[in-house]
Amino acid sequence: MMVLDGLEAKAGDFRLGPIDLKLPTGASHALLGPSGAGKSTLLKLLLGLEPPSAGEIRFRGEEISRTPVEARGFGYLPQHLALFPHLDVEANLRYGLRARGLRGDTHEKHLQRLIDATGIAPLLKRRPETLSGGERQRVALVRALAPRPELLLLDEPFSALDPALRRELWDLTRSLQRLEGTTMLLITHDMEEAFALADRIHLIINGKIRQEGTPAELWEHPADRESARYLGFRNIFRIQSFDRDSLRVRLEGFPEELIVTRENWPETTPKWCAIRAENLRFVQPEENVPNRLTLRAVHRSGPGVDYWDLYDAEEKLLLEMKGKASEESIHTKKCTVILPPEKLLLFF
Amino acid sequence: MNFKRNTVLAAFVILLLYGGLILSLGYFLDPQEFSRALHSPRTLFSIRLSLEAATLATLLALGLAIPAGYALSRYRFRGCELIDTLLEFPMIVSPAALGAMLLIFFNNPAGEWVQEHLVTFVFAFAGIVLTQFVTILGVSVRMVKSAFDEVPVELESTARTLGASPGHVLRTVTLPLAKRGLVAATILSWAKALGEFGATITVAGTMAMRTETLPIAIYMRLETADIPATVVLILILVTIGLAALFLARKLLGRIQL
Repeated sequence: MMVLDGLEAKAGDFRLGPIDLKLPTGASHALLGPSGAGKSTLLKLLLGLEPPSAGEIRFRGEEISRTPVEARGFGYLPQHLALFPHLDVEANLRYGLRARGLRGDTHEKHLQRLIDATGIAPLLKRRPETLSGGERQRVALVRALAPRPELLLLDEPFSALDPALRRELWDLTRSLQRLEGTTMLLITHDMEEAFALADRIHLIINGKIRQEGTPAELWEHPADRESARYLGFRNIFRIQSFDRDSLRVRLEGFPEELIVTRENWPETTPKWCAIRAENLRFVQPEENVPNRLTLRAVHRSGPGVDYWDLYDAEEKLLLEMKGKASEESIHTKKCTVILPPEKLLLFF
Repeated sequence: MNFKRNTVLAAFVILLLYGGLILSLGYFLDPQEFSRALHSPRTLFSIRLSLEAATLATLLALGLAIPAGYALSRYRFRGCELIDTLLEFPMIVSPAALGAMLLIFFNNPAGEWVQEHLVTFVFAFAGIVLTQFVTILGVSVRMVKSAFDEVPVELESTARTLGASPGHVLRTVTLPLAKRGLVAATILSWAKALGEFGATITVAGTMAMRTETLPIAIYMRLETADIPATVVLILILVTIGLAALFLARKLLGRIQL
């Protein structure tokens, strides 16, 4: 178990933390956040490349925030992979074993197993500059895992790959992580990547951990408006007035009040209401259901994503929709949708 | 096309200038005189003295430049900007001024003590080495720093996560990758030390068979109007210098990172 306790750092004007975080052994974690959120600074603290200004890092119960990089025993897959250009693939793979003085059959067999699992055996005598993007990834992954690190840190290593190859390497990384039983922490700004690779996601915004949970928890219930925006909510509206007893809210620009559920009511005064594009549902105009809205088609923005406008609204108010409208709606450019009450989230 | 032609022409003026200067030596070149001057004990002494002093000054300069250049390349610390600026100090100060500053230092109480109790520098071999060392140190550090700048820091930090200590990283990652730049820095520093004149003559004087390096020998032969011997000495210096430049260029040109 890795525990971060009130960890803080300063980099120029930027302040990271205080960060409290627990990474249970064997699990796969993601530290997800926009650029400039402090992910790289936190990574440097974990690796030991920079000292924290306050707080503790405990690994297996031992305080390690001043332990030198090489004594921590963490594996690292940097953004640009950092394969040693003057060494061939095999020497790259063995670098960690040599540096740590790990010899003998067990280590050889382990390395061989990693080489077989990633299919890089034909590359051993090649120089890094002759490898393709995917091959370089595999080599860097095996090199990081060869000395059997207890914690593997990944710093957006897949960002330079094309989408198909990325997915392939996500699967490979995930299966190796499970096979090795290594605790993994992926640093990324890519939501899809975090959801594909992590059991638990820690959302970091402006130097602080905003939320942590399983991918499903974060997907369904972001902690606040900023987190929701970052986690892909596009339909976020300001609450004009509300009534706690009747569980009704009026949103700015909406013709009628909407009904919400008690479960989604926040502990403090709600200011924002959000719903995922996937959760808006097309219905027949005559259906009598709560939270019904009439919308006008505006434009199509991407595969499976449409923007619709509130039909009678005075000001332009866009709603993002996913899902297929009926032929008639497409023809008349007019449709009826409902906002299911249990899917309407309220934030302070 | 006129624009391109004119700029290329300007580039060829350089070749014409330096090439012409070297070729014009041939006018005074007499084979018999060449052989006589080349084999005279005084010339051989100058060559040996120059090679020894330049080599020693280069080794001393690199001994300091490698750690200092690494620090300037890798770390931000108080005073690093000032030190970085001072690297160009020997280049902007006239060699005569630099030599005079050394002389003035050896005439103050601290300098006198050093001369009396440790090493005699003024008008001595040690003075030649010290002067060359002072002259080339700045440029040596600058070149060594550039060589280290070429090695991405990420490679070093990754090596450390793989279990290598800072010393091991330096030996197995940084130095091998900076090797060509470092060798080039050595050659260029050495060539600069070899050709040093202004500061050396100020500190070491013009004593035949004692402090007569190749550039000083050229000056002394010219003073006595011994043109053929001057030509021979210039040719020796030019040959060594150009060989060093081409070697350094070849090494630097092959750096790929």
